[in-house]
Amino acid sequence: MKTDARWHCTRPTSRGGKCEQGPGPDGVCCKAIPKCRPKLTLRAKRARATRWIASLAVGFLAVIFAYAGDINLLMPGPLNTAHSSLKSCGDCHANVSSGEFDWIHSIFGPSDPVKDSGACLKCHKIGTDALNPHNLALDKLAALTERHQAAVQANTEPIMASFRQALFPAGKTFEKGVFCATCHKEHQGEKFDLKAMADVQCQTCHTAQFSNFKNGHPQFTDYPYGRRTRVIFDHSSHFSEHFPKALADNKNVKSLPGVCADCHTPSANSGLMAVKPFEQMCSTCHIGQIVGTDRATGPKGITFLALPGLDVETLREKKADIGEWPEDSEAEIAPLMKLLIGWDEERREMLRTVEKLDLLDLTEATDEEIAAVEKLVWEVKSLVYQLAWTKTSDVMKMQGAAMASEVDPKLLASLTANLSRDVLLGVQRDWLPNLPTEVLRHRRGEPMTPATAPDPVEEPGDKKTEGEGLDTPPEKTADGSKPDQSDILSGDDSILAENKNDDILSGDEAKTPADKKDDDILSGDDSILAENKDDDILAGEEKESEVAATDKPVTKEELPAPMAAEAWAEFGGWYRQEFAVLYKPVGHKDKFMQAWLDFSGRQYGKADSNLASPVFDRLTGKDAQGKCAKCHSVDSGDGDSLKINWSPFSVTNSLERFTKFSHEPHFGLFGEKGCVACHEINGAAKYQQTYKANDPKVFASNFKPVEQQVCTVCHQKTAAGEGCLLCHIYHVENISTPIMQTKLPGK
Amino acid sequence: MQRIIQNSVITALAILFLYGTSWLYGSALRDPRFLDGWVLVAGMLFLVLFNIRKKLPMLPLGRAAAWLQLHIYVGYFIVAVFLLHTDLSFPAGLLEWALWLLFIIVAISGIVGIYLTRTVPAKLEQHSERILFERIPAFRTGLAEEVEALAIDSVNQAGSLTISNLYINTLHAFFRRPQNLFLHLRNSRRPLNRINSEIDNLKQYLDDPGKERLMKIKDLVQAKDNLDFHYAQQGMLKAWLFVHIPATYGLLLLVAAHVAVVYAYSSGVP
Repeated sequence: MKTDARWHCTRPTSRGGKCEQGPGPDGVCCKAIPKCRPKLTLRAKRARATRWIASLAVGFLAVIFAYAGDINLLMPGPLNTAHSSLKSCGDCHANVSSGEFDWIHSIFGPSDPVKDSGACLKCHKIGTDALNPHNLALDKLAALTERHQAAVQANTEPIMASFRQALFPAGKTFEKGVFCATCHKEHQGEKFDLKAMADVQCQTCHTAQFSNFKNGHPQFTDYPYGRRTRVIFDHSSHFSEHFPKALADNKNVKSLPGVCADCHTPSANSGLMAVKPFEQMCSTCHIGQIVGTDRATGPKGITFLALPGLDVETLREKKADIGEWPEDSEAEIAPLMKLLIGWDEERREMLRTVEKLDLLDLTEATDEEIAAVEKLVWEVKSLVYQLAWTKTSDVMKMQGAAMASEVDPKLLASLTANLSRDVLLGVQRDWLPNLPTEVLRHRRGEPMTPATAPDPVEEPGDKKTEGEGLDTPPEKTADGSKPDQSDILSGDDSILAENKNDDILSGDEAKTPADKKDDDILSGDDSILAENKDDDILAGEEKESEVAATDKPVTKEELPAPMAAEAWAEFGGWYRQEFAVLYKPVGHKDKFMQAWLDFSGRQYGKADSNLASPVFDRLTGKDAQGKCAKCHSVDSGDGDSLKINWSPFSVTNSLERFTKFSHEPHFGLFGEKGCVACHEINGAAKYQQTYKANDPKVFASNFKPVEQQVCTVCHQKTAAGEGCLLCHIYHVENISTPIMQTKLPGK
Repeated sequence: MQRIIQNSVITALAILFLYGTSWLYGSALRDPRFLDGWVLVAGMLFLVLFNIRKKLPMLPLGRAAAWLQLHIYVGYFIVAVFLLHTDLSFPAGLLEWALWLLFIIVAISGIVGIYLTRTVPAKLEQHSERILFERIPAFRTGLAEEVEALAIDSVNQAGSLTISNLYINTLHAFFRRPQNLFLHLRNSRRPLNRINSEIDNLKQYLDDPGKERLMKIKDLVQAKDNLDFHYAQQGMLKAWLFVHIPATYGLLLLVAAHVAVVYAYSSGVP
């Protein structure tokens, strides 16, 4: 208390009373009690530290999430080098879109592994069953499973596998498919092997399980021959008969193989053994069978078109309106021509009627049958007319319509082997000289008989004919020039028209078109030159010039001997012979043969109305020209169709392969035994007999199956390895990367 | 020892079981990181329960010692699960690194804590009577005042500056705050011996009362050294928790974020 400008202590005695010093000049007690300063306990300090750390963690997370667009902040590990170009999480994680916080939405949305896999499949293209096990259709998978379960030994299941199956059954896990990320785990580092798989992982699904390759792996019952060879080559008969015989005959000795590698060579990419091409290995002995030089009897060409032999006399007697027709023809209706004619049911019915008849003796034919023959005549004429006077594609479109599909132009070119128009004009000129006129008149409904002499054909480009429709044929010679009106041999119909009253063609039996062929200077038959040299204008001209040059007449003996058309077609191609147009294969891989076999094979059917089947049967028959089916096997296709195997086995034509094998690392392991160590000839196998049927899976191989023991010598865990993926392929469907769709600049 | 062996065996078996299960899980074409990841989360939550248990002693939740044992051995188990989960490799992303580092800090601090709780009490018992850590500053102040009084007394009573010089040059700083903590952690007697040697050297210059005061001072130095030892050892026993507990809660937050990220980017393979 302050009194008289001095401070006095007022502390009561009960609390210690006044002290000696008393208060200071400023009134502060000389024994001031220090202010209480509570100190935090350790527990409180720890709690404070905890709050600080928690706040830091929250702040850290806020920063991380705010910059989640930078994938390095959230990414759990580096991507594989192959995927290093991916910059956004959404590139692979379909659930996550590109916004910085969009990923938070996906926490609460169900993940969609199908979509995620879809992201993979954008670059790694597999077939339609990409998410099925082994990319196989489920029915195929079920069939394979059944087959393999039967083959595996039941008592070799590893304990761990059964334990795993009990704990984590695979069934429901893969109901929606086997997703890419199931096996390929990303974010494991740049060099991580994304394709690495443990054997036990394969056994997740493989219910028939075993511990190792030596014990429990199914025996190689038919490996590596899952089917018969596509190209028929009987190793046994070649080794035991053909090669020794060729040696004994001292024939083609140089081309005979001495070791396996003479015919087989390692394929560059697949590691499989490829067969050397026909030209190197087979041609020497077998080319003659293809081009027909080894053919003893029958035509060496395949009949494409023919004017079938008919009983013309009876047809005329029975008032059949057939117009002109070669009376000397004895040709049959070629299967190929039947296929071209019979493009609708009406025509097929006609052909069925005609097939039952003896066309060379129609004396007992009924009126309906005569009508069918008459129809046949006009169909043949129409076909020849159309082939010669319209585009081939128009003719073949009829076949396309019958198949409910367009005919591919390339196939068309192959089916006709670029048939020359000159050949067809020759047919018309020599065998059916009035064909264009007759066809036009027939289409107008005008009768041909009794007078078959046609009207003169109007010239192409003639103002009268222009715009009158496609039925007006161009009237030019083969080389496109206007026909010489004066040349009686040129096939000019005008001359026939002029002479119709003389009835050169119809009245004079000796002057049928067949006979006219012999008069035709363009037919290639030189005999006429020899026979009629005195009368022949050209021959006369030659003679005159020769006389002028040598002053010595050419005798009949000096002229070259006449050459048959077939002999002329030495190197194959088109030729005419005996009222037929034939095609002789030009060599191996003849496109005409391939096209007709593929075309007719696809349409092959057991129904009577199917006209493709006889074509296929004809071309694959034992005596077929080209002998394609002697080596190229025929397999059943979809439905009743048949497929001819043009190429031997290769990785590209063998889809859905579960195994891989590289021959080269195994060279040199078997010493002198070599290839036979694995591929031992099975002399008892009825190899060729299996090709009588069309099921490639039912077969007898030339070789015994590879013995598993041969492999287990090296393929053990501690030696060459025995992992599943060493020999097996998971993705049986080829995986490809779609090419970039780069737009052209400026578009 | 028997209990340690028993618990260790059980933990080892649990680790082996989890390793086998995880391997089977992975071989069943599933992602084992989901399995061991959830085990890791569950384990960590269980370990946190121990701290909660300590805060709720009134609840009948079992003996604290039993909880501690569980905490320790589940902790070892979780470390093994962590190694399995991370596939013994370093992380990549920033979040993963933060998680990894925090877990390592929590795990190492926990292991250090186990070591300290096993070794320090025994050392303290061997060293001297038990002193409460919170009382050490008060004891230290009392000792300092006593030494100061003896020094003043030696000047006042004997007129000698020998003891007062010793106090000013050496003892004042020694008694003012805890000294030589690192040496005490190593159980070293070197600082005490150094001061004792200095005191003994002064004996020859003092008369009997002076010698008596010096002996009293020597006893106080011994007491102060004992306090420093306790302070250092008990301080360590408490300090590791300053790392272990805050880091644990930080870790739990990051774990929650990690689980969210994993499921956000999950490709649907369980």
